[in-house]
Amino acid sequence: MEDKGYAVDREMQLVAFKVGNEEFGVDVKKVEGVISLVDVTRMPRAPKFVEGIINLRGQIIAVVDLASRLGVASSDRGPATRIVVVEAQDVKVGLIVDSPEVINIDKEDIEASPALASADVESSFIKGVVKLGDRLLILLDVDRVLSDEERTDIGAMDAAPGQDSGEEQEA
Amino acid sequence: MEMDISQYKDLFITEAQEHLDALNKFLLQLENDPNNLDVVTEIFRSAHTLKGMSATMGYDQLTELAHEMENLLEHLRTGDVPVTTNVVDTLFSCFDTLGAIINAIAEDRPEQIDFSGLVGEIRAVTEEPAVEQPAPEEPIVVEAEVAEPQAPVQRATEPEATKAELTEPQAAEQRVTEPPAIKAEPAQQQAAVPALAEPVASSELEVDEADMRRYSATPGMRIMRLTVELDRECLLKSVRVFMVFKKLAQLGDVLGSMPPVEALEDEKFESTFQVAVATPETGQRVEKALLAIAEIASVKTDVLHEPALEARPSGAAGADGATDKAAAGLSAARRTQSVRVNIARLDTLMNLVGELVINRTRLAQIAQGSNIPDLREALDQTSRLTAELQDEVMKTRMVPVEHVFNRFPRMVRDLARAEGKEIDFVVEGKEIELDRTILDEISDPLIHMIRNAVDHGIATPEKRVKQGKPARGTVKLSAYRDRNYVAIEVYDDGEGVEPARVFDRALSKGLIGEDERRSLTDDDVLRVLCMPGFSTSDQVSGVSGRGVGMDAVKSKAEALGGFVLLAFEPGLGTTVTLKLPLTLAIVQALMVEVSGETYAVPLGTVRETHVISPEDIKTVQSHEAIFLRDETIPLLRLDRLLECSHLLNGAEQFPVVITEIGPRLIALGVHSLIGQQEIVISTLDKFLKRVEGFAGATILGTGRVALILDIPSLM
Repeated sequence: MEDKGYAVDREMQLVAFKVGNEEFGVDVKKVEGVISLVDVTRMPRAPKFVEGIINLRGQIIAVVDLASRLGVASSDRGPATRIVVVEAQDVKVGLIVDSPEVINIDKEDIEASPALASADVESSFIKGVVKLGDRLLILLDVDRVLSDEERTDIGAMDAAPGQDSGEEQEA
Repeated sequence: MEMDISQYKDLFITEAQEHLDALNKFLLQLENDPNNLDVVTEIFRSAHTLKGMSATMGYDQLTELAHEMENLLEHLRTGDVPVTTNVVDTLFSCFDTLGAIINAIAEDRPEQIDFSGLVGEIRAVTEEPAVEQPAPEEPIVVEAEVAEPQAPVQRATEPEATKAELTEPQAAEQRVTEPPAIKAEPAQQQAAVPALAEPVASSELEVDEADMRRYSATPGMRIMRLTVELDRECLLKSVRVFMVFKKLAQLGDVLGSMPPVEALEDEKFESTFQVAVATPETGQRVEKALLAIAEIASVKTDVLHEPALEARPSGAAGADGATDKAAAGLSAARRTQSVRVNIARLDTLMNLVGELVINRTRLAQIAQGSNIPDLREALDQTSRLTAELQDEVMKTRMVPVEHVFNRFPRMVRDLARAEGKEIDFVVEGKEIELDRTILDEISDPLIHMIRNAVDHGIATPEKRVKQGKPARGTVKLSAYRDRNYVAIEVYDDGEGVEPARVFDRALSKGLIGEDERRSLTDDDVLRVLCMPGFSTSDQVSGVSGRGVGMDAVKSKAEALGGFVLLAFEPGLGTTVTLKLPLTLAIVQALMVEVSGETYAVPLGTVRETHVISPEDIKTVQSHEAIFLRDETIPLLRLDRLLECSHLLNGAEQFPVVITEIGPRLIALGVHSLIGQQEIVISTLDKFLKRVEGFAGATILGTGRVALILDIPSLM
């Protein structure tokens, strides 16, 4: 189905979306689907950027507030807010984003200059940038964004503040 | 058309493993009771079946070793080789080697295992000078004629429960080649000896008279001759033959076949063969059962004997008794007829039932808003049916702990011997059932627990005697139901645990600080024992130190939603208890509300609920606690533990859930109680697993997700 004849090597599909004021893109192959923002169950003791958990067709998955994860200023959630479900290292995770759309780009338009892309976003999360007219799209490496080290942190980050707050209250 | 023998491999492996377990079990029995010939017969039967199965599947190594073993067993059975330690050890080595070969087959490792040394050993013990054991009052029988290789009637498989059956073609052949072929045998065997060779040309399979007499004497037994024709295109005829024999063995006793079973195994026949069988089933049912096997073209039944309404044979009393026993065994075998189902299929079934339960809850919630009586009624019915279905599916997944327990007697024996200890190993509650998935997981933890008991619990006989204890130590493995849990306990009447030593050791390893020494409760000792890298073993040896593996035991128990308990009496003994939930997938839970979110508390841990007022709360050592019937129960406010924004107001009353975590009670303060509900547990994916405090999550009837609290890791 990817076989479109002539431009097969050059063409690439992205799911593009907004987080705060910046635009990002994720390789469509990594995306499982886009769903509307549903009721998210809060997950206590998880790191701040984990919004909570949801029921995705009988499967329970984590939802990450991408703005918080990437450290960019978030805008209010509105009618255009969606959850983009990606698969990173065999685990499905939902990302909260605004106005997702599927766009076609030419692979040659991807520039590998992450440092210039964004002042806020951690450069290791960035695969490259794509210029589309006057728009600048930051291509995200979702495996990195939700990397194993990060998952380890989820546990580590949780343990410390949890215990601290408990002791404060008891003291 | 393509046929693949590998599709029978899994079945073969499972069954071979079962026979191996049985062999080990019976040999342990024999070791303790060397004169018990019944046990020898059982061993022989399993070994023989294993041999037959292996030959059918073409596993030559297994067949060969089983055959060698059978020779030795035959000598044990006739009593001309006594059951010595040497013999027992040799047989245990054989079983281990068989196990290794079976494993190699299971893992598709083609390598050949060299057991020539073992064969030498077998032959050596077989030729040990025999102690004359003339059987009382029995005539000496010369059996050479019996082994006439072309005898038209051959014993195909050892009938399930006929203890009297001893004649077996290969064993008989063996005897012939061994001068002097004179054996003393009890009378029943004589009865089972096939009649003298009929002319080979006989076109129909004849059932020998002794069998005819025996089985026709059994009430309700039919004897029939089956002519089975295989499809002409059938490629692996021996596999079909194997399946026919297997099916027949389930239905009754196979009395013989034409051509003989060896020829059938070697596919030395066209497409038709005959089998004689004694069964309580009707010819029609037998035909139907056989036609269900693939590539069976036709089955023709000739009933040679219809069941007598009442029959008491006038034969020897001994043979009579044996026949009764055989018949009883047969009907028991029929009653427990079962089907093997792939565990993955059961998992799927369980998942489907899980989704059904979720949907039922959802429907019930929708119906609450409406007032249609018919809908309510239909829903009630659906609820009842779902509950029943769920219950049944759950039951199909339950297996007796015996499946895991069976391997331990052998392990304890070997360990005890290696360490020069004398140990009575007692097993209780083998019949207790657990979910298959849980059972599969607990074998390793149990090995650790039992090894610990043997290695560190039980001292050497000399030391025990010095302590005024019997030289033989006792290790007891028991399983019992404890409400929603199954408890598996390993007890030893050995050294016990010395808390002081435990703490010294932990201190020297830097696992704990000096300040922790002051608390020496059982709980603390357990916590220290379960620290990774802790061991009290004084000498470095191949065996474990108590503590090595305890961390594994603890983490496994917790991963399964259970926990570990430790009780000990220094110098007198130790009990380590593993408490496991009955099943993993669906549990009853108490739903509670904290700051607008719903959480599930597994009902197995809930003792009671109360509503408390601020004045009920006391502060004990700077921790909040409540008093309930003279007990001080620590209070944990879930809103604080779960970092909620909306905290319980200090002035209001609030409900508490009293939970029982091992021996400890914990009161959980919540905002409100929602009620009891069945929940389907989903495990959290690896992204979320590291967040401590939750045993999983569940989907509520509304479609929303609720977290399941795991109280030990929440604290």
